[in-house]
Amino acid sequence: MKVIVCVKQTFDTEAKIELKDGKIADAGINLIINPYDEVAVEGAIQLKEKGVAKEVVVVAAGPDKAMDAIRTALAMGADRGILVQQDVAADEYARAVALSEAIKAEGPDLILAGHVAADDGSSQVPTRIAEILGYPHINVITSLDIADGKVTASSEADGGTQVTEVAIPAVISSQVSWNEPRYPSMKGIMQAKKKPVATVAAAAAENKTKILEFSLPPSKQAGIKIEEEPDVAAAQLADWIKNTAKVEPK
Amino acid sequence: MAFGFEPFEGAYEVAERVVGANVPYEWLIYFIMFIPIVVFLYGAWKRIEIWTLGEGKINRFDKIWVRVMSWFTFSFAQARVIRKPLAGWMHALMFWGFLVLAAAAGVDAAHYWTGWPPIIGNAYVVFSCIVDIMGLLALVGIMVLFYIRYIMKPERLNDTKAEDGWMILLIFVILVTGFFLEGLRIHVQILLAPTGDTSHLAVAADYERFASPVGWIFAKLFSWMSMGAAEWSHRILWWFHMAVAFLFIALVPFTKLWHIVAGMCNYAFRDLGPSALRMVDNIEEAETFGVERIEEFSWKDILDLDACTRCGRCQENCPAYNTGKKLNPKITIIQNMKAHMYAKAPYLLEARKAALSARETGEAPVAVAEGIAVAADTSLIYDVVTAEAVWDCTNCRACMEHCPVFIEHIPKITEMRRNLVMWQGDMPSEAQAAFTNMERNYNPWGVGWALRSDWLEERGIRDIVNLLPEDGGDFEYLFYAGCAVSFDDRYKRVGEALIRLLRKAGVSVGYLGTEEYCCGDSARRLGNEYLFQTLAGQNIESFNNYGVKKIIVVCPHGYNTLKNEYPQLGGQYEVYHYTEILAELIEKGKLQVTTPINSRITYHDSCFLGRHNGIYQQPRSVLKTCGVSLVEVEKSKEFGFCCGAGGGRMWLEEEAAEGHKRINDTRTAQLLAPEPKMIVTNCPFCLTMISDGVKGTDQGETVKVFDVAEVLWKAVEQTI
Ligand code: SF4
Ligand code: SF4
Ligand code: SF4
Repeated sequence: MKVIVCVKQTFDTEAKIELKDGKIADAGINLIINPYDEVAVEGAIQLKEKGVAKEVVVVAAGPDKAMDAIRTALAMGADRGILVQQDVAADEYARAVALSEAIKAEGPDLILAGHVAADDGSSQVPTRIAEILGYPHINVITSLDIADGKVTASSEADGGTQVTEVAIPAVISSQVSWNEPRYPSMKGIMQAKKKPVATVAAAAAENKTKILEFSLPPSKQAGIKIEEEPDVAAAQLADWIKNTAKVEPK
Repeated sequence: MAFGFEPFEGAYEVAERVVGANVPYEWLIYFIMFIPIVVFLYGAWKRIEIWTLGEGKINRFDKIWVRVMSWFTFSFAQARVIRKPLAGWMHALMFWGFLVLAAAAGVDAAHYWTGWPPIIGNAYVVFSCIVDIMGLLALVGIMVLFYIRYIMKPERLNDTKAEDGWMILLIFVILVTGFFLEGLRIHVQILLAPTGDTSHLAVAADYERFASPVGWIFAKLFSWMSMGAAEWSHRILWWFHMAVAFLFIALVPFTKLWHIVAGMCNYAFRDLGPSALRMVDNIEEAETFGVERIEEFSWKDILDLDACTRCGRCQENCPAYNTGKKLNPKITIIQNMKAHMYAKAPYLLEARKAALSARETGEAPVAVAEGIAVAADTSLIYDVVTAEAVWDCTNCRACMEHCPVFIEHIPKITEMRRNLVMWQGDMPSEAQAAFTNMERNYNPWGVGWALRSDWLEERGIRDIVNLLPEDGGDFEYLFYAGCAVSFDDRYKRVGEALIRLLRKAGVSVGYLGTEEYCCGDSARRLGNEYLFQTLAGQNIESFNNYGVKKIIVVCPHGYNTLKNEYPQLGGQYEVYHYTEILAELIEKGKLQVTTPINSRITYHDSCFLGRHNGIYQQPRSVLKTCGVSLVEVEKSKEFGFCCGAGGGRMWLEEEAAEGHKRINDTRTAQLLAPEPKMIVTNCPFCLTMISDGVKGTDQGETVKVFDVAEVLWKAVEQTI
């Protein structure tokens, strides 16, 4: 069985985001493999270790820098990589088209991806890929079983768990609680350097969306501290809510 | 002289050392003695051959003179052994006694071979008296050692084997038969002596009272014996005594007695440097990482296995062992590895031979490879030591501090961690998280690196700090805040106290802010050498960019790393821990206490300031200036008990073992025992661990945990 994992390179989750000329300033920001995709990579490698998967291929759409994300996945244990060269400005639609093209050429049995990217948080790409390829799709899974050409996966449903069965090929997107991604060993990193990575051009697709503006969330205001006896404190707080914060009853 | 021997002569005209009299064919001994010597040499070679199986690189042939001195001091002065008051001194007595007795035997042999005149007169009396008394001390030593091992049974000797008893018996028999011989000889001499003028010393061999005071007592024990019986007993016992003594020599390489040789080697080949982990050179080009198979250790590490005396001093002081963990430096590390090495050695030796002959004949060694495979079936890390034990260690250095033969436990544990992390990729998930955090954000907490200097604003000290990337002012000392000051809310206060103290004392400091990185201690000690070298390289680059010469470090882990480990990567600076600086400022009168703090406190020595760097006095003197009454806890200074956070364990979960508390809770209980008002420490990790510990007790509300810097700031400025 051939498994394809889609990975995206994102900003480090702790990175300090700043805007410059209305755009996100990326100087000094560390780029990482999207943590949700990392879980998908781990899931794929575990399938390989169990003997279910024969080959694990990582696919990333993005600029040349995205090669680092592919190398990380290879260091974790994936077999080879494909970098679909695409501008970072590509939207979810264009990205899904580009990835689907590359996936089609590989003809995998299973496509894994994180259910959301840590940067834009749009949660669209895996679902769009399933749509474009016409494959069944299970979203936000926390466990996965493969037997007799079928995938059985549990996913989070409101207040419970949903178990779904689909035929392969299928597109499966992972929740972070599925597994704990491994830390690549030096052995893995050394081997990764020798693993093949193909670079292909992205299939042409126009963006369907246009970003109008970026803005940062308002910075946190310092709280106030009232150090009084409870009755006095309560009165002061009420006053503050009414006159300073100006919270009006509806 | 019918049998070629002299009879006893009773008293000699002048006092004289009697060698071999009354024993037929006594001279044979000087030829027979080559048998044990040959056996010894053969056995020794067999053991040393095993040391040569170590493939790892290490250089212990530098600084030859220091090594010779080290060998001499620690072997002959027993300087390290006597650190354990009773057992150590008894061992030393036995050792010195044996040494003198062996020297006396050597003089006798030399006398035989070279025909030196016998030792006579007062020289004899003095010489003999010393030997006699040393023999007695050795006898006392071995008997007390027997008493300790078999009657007192301290916990540290929990792996007593039959061999231990046999060796004690052997030594005891050699000493006692020696005194019996001396007693019998003197008894016969007394019988032979002309009676009469008792004022003459020669009469009745009276000089032996002074020359052989102990032998004299033994002579009295035999006073009932007839002359003939005494002579025959003497002859038989003499051969017996010699046989046992030769047995001793021959047994050295084959028994625990081998520690005499291996231990002395360890004194010469010990690590002479400061406390640092071993450097991995050219890590970019390395093809394996750490040690997976025992033969990948260096020869010194294998020698260590032989040198271990099973004295259990390491075990006795190990926080992991004392809280019921799998790790026991004596057993799980050294003795298990030793057994494994000896099981595998025959195959390794064969493989080496086969490889050599293959090189000559051009044929590949096939058969041996199978044997090796069998031995290799046992995994060093997973079966012999176990990964659990490898992760248990807090790098507290208690084992290495107290080991009488300078065995290096931590480097061995680190090599195995290196293999687990960098080669097998097998590590606790919390370690993974810490690595990822240090990799991406240069601190183990994982807070965004761009926020590294935000604590200045938070603590309201931005305007009094020379933040080099922004202000770029001149400075004398670099203030290396470290990750804890930067990101741990509690420890930011300590950073503030220090900045304010240094400013008050007029010390010029600069701070790197976001151009400072994690020191890498946790990464290195958790086995991620690659990450350590990356972080250290980044720091060194920053330091050099700003022309840093002197550094004040807040965290003892950072202190140890910058001071002792950065030189391995070319980072040479004058590195101080802040307690050293504060003590000096107080001494120079630059900081004056205005409001003494009259609290009863206990002080916790962090391992990296204490055992790793020997700083015990400065923090205490700072505290004393503050006016506190410091109550020393039972385990302090060299014997300080770890808080559990060292060796990167700060980032790993610790589960309490059945019937034990966790390490930090154990330490907290010790610190709370004298009922202090506060507990004071000097390290962010200790502060965290002990604060957590205190919270879990019923003193959680009343006892506060502070850092030395905070206590001083309070005493100087009345605020905290
Ligand atoms: S360093 Fe400390 S924890 Fe580690 S083995 Fe030695 S005594 Fe035990
Ligand atoms: S390692 Fe050192 S301290 Fe531990 S038992 Fe052996 S000789 Fe004693
Ligand atoms: S060991 Fe000290 S300096 Fe290094 S990460 Fe930690 S707190 Fe920071």
